[in-house]
Amino acid sequence: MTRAFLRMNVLPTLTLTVCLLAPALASARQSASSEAPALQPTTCSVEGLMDSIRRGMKSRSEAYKLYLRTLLRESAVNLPRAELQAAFEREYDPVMVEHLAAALVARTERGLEDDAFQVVAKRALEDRDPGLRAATVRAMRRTGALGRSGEMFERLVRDPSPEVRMEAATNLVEDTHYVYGGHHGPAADTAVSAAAASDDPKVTAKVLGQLMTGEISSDSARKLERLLGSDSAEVRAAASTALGGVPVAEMANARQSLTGMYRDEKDPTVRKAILQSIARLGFSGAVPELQRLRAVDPSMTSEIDSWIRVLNMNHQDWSLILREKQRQQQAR
Amino acid sequence: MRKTMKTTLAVLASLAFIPAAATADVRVGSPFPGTVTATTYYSSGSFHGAVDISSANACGYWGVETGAYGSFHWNVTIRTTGTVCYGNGSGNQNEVKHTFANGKILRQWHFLKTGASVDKTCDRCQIGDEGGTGNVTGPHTHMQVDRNGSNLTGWYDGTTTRGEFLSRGETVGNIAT
Ligand SMILES: [Zn+2]
Repeated sequence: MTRAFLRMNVLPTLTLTVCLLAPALASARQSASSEAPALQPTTCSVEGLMDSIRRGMKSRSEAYKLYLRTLLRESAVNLPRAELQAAFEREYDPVMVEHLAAALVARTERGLEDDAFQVVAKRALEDRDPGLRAATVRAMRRTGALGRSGEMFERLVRDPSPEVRMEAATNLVEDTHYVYGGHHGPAADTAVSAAAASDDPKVTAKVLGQLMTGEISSDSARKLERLLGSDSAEVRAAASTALGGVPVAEMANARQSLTGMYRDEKDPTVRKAILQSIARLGFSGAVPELQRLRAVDPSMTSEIDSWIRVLNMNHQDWSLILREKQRQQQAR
Repeated sequence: MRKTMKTTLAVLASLAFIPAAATADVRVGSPFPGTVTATTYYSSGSFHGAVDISSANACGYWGVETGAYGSFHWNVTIRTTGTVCYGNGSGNQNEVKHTFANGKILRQWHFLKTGASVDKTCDRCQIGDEGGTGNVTGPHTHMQVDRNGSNLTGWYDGTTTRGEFLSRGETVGNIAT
């Protein structure tokens, strides 16, 4: 049992470890029968790395897979670039493609070669297999890809494969949030442009529904206002939500567009999203406006009253207001 | 067999500096090899609320890396362009910072401007050389996490102690994001 365990689980880790700590353990397999593993200088091998990934990915433990990914990113800088790229280019198993691509991207992110990233971006756009395009898109997730190639995203969100489009949408959401902290205007602008460029309502809605828009340009704000006229209710709701978070300079316009649209909107989900954004843009100052909108649609009266009650509590922080609103909803 | 197993596990245990699983925490490593010279309080007893790391007067010798593990956008503010190792007054420090989505800001101060001192998105990249710009008595990097104007100490408390030597990338603390 111990031997099997050693072979299945520990060895792949050790192989990767060799890359990190060279000089380190050489031939751990042989050492299984000797007193102690010998320390010998080794170079990292792409083959060793790939073996580790193949075995590691069979593991049922998500934690172990994440651990492997972390190790992979760390060891990427010690691998021979040409060999790594060659392995990536001749690989057709999506799992392997994703990890080899992630290793190439990690080299660029760690400040090695700028063009390692470009090799991955090219495959994300051009591989004939949608599964492999999707895998390379995932490999670029939570990196500086947005800043390196915003144009790439505008193409990815129009990919013929819905899987690729959705992976690109996830990257836009996670990259703007985790890499740019939601506070970087140009990154958010790239996300808005890509969302607006897609013909897939699910993609546009996913990006806009979760984007932090506090630093976007007026140009992006106008794009969001135009999307309020979309045929898709999903897109209208997401654009409404996104407009709720715009910078101070855009607030008056956003409020006007949302209020104007509320009167003609028929979809209750969109109407709720509009009300939430009107509340967010005005805080307690939105109460008179909300009172005027009470007459438009009787089925929304209780929703509007609930907003008015919460806004009148005068919380000065949007997350507190939102939490209070949700609490009231549950209490009912 | 059992003995080998133990050896193997010991080797694995030595890898404890690598997180066993990714969490919402962002690990922050030392920007260069150096000694922790101050944490929450200076030796004088006054509040500091940050971590100072210094490599013993090696001004301009070590390249300063951004500390956070993972890709992040970094904003650089250069207030001093020359080589200043022993301070040039409050407010003159060069700064690199990242603002997380939850409003926490990780800052690194006092480095010397180099060609690398520009806004960028990267994973632990060079941002300047170790220096002493701003209100300091000697070259070091000041690592601070603050939110709404208050310094946070929980991110390094229990991980880093004064007098400890850290190699490049060795954990200073973890920021919950
Ligand atoms: Zn300090």
